[in-house]
Amino acid sequence: MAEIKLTVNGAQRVVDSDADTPLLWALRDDLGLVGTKFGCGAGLCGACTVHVEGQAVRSCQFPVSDAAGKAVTTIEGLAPSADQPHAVQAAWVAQQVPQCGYCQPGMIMAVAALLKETPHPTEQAIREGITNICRCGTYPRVVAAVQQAAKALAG
Amino acid sequence: MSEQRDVIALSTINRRAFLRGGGIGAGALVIAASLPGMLLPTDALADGPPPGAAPPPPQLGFGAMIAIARDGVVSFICPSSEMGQGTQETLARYVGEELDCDYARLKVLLPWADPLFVNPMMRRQMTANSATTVGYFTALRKAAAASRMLLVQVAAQRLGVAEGELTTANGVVRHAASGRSIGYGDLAEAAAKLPVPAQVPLRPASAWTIIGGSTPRKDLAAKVRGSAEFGIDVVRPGMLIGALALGPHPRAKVQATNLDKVRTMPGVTAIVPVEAGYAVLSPRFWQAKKAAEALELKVLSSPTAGLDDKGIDAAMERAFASVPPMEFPDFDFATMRPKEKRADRAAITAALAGAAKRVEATYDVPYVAHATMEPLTCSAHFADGQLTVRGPLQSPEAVRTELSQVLNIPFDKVRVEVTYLGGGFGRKWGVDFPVPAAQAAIATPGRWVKLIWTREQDIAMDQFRPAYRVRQTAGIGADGRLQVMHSRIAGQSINTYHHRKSPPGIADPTAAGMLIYGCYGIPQSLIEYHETKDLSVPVGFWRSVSASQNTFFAEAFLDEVARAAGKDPLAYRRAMLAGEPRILRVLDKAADMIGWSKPKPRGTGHGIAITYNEGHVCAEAVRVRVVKGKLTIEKIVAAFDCGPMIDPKGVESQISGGIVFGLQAAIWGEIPFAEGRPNVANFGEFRMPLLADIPPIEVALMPSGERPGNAGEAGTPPIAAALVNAIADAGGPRIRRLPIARMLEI
Ligand code: FES
Ligand code: FES
Repeated sequence: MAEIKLTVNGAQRVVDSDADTPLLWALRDDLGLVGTKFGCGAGLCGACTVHVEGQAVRSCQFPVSDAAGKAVTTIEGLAPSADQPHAVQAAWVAQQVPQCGYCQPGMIMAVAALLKETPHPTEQAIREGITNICRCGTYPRVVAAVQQAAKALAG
Repeated sequence: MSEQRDVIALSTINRRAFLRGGGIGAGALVIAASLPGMLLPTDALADGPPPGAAPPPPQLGFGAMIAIARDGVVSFICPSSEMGQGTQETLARYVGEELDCDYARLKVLLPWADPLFVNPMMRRQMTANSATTVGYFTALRKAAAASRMLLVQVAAQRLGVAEGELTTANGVVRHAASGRSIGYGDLAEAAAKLPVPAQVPLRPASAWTIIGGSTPRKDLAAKVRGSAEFGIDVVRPGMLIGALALGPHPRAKVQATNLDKVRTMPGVTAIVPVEAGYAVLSPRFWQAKKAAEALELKVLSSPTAGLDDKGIDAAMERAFASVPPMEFPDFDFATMRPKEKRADRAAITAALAGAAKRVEATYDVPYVAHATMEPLTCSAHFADGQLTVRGPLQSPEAVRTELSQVLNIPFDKVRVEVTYLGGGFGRKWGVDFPVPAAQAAIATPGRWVKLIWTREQDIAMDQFRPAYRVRQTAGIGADGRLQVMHSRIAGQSINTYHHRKSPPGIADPTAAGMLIYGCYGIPQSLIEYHETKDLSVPVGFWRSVSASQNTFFAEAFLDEVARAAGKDPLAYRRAMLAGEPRILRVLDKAADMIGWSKPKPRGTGHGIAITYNEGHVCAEAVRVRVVKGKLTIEKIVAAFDCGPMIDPKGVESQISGGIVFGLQAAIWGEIPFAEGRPNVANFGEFRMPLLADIPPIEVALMPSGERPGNAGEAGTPPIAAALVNAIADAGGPRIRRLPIARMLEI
């Protein structure tokens, strides 16, 4: 066990964990941030997607020790407050994307990172750039929701 | 639903409990809606709201599930489990439609196992068979309407006017003539003391404003913020988190050989023997998981020891050859036995022998997993003889019974609470996974325990949709018409695996139901089921149950029959559906959407298939290209009728999502077996479609005047048949064995 300092959603946090603990479990079990989900533990589904220094990472494959000194954003910290949703979250509600909702925090984090990098993605870029698994099959609404969010972010 | 069942009885009951934890002052009465067909114990709400749910504010209760707070906010405890199908929104709309509250502020709370929440149609508290929308349709609207009538009565007294002069909207009773109004919050306490009206009229569909509207589902805001509490998200102070070390089968017996060593690993608090293995408990999942992986297990016995795909194949053949078949008669599901029609075997044999043309084929589907996005998980707490379980459960009532029986705890000492479900699809209908959580909690009294299955364990410990093999024979008359059909199915019985009885004298409907479609009016038909009694793979209900495989068998084979008769498969179906206008309308729409009659280039094919039950009709059509053994799906369309649609946007997502679910099974879904266990690990082997794999999917909703039906399962069944039919139409192979990726490159 080692003390690891990192910034999570803007706040300094200390995690006392095995160094090989995936960031996912440090967030969930040490910091109580359970919005980030466990889907496969193998980097295959994206349910665990968070941002590290603004980049989307699959936190089940990212040792918490590698996040030392870095800024981590989770779904809980994506929007400034509950009544001010991030553009992706707002588009997700407007297009009624979620079904069970379990994959959605990860998908939303992946989309938010994609739009930061590529503010005006083509449909193909969306289809190839978002590789999260959704077992409920919400895919048909995802492209429209990403496009709506892109528009909103562009102002 | 018969008129008799529609009658709602409203009665006062002991309110102690709804109030306990709700903080309602003494002296207020709670009026409970006694939903039709439901038992109402005097202390029915004795359990009170679950501690994890947002506690209702000080309030007065109307009905078991509806409560009005003094500030006018209405809380509704949604009795069925929300697993993505939108049940919270659907049922909240029933309440909102008749209560005239401020719908935007209506709060939906999660349920717990309680006789008050029983589905009036199923007579159990469970979320399955798409029975929620129809089951609560009348009862919940009546409970809400009765509540509104009482509020109006009180307002009339206070304002000194006739009830007829009052209107209700947005949680306020208004007297237009004088401009005066009173909010529901101010009326509720007095209203709760009035006797419940004997007659509770309901608004006609033509007057609905919330039902059928398009406001976003109430559960979405929490889901996009990451604050919806799924089973895996249950967190309690001091909680232990458990990882599992499991044998090859849920009913395997195993023994750990290095317990002492693993016990000393970092973070390990306890190791508890549970069903089929051990739970390793620690404050952190990661440490628990590392320790669980270090446990060495000796398998003492396993029901599937040595099983592999060859063994499954052989078991199918043995069943056909030596297990006497059970007949699945043609019957009307609404009345069951009375209308049952048995086949005339002699006539069938004669008709097949005398047919101008015979078509025969063997079809296969493999075992497939549910692979809900949220792996299996459940939390539990045990102290002073009281067991509390909280988790993603489709069947809280059955879990309560199971825990009480298996763990020998009095029924009233078992409390079962429901979280959001990260997908259900039938898997979380199972009562298996709460048991080890409870066992672990009993071993560590006073501390909450949460068990989490890894993805690999979730798949390996699934209750799979069974593998089936079907042999079908059709006889075509000289006029090209389908005269006779004989279909034999072999595979495991879900009822047998779960030690449940099938309806006496007939085959297990979960295997054999609708293997031949009654809607086509085939003059002679016979369905027979040869149970593979020597297979013990864990099996269970998988989205749409028997329709998932039997629609593939029935609708793909019918295509072959049509082609053998020299007929267009759509025209062939249409000719047989002359007496089924509801199905015909939907079929024609799907055909039209895919452009069935338009010319198409070489290598392009169209396929169509239908599914239906008493609550819905769904037709799906597909356009594909097959070039040099490579398949491209260009477009999928669906036309769907489930009567009046409570939440059309939600219905659409159920159909398109159901198609994606069915597509996975059709193209990639397969659980092979080797060395006595499922030979897949994770999503690498049990492959899921990604966004880039999904062709354009168009859904046409075709509401009708029928009673509300169901949508959660309808999208899944037809897609496999439509797809293989399209592949054949495109000049590709006739695929009779799923998954398609075994035959074609995608
Ligand atoms: S849980 Fe991390 S990618 Fe699936
Ligand atoms: S919404 Fe259920 S898995 Fe995506």
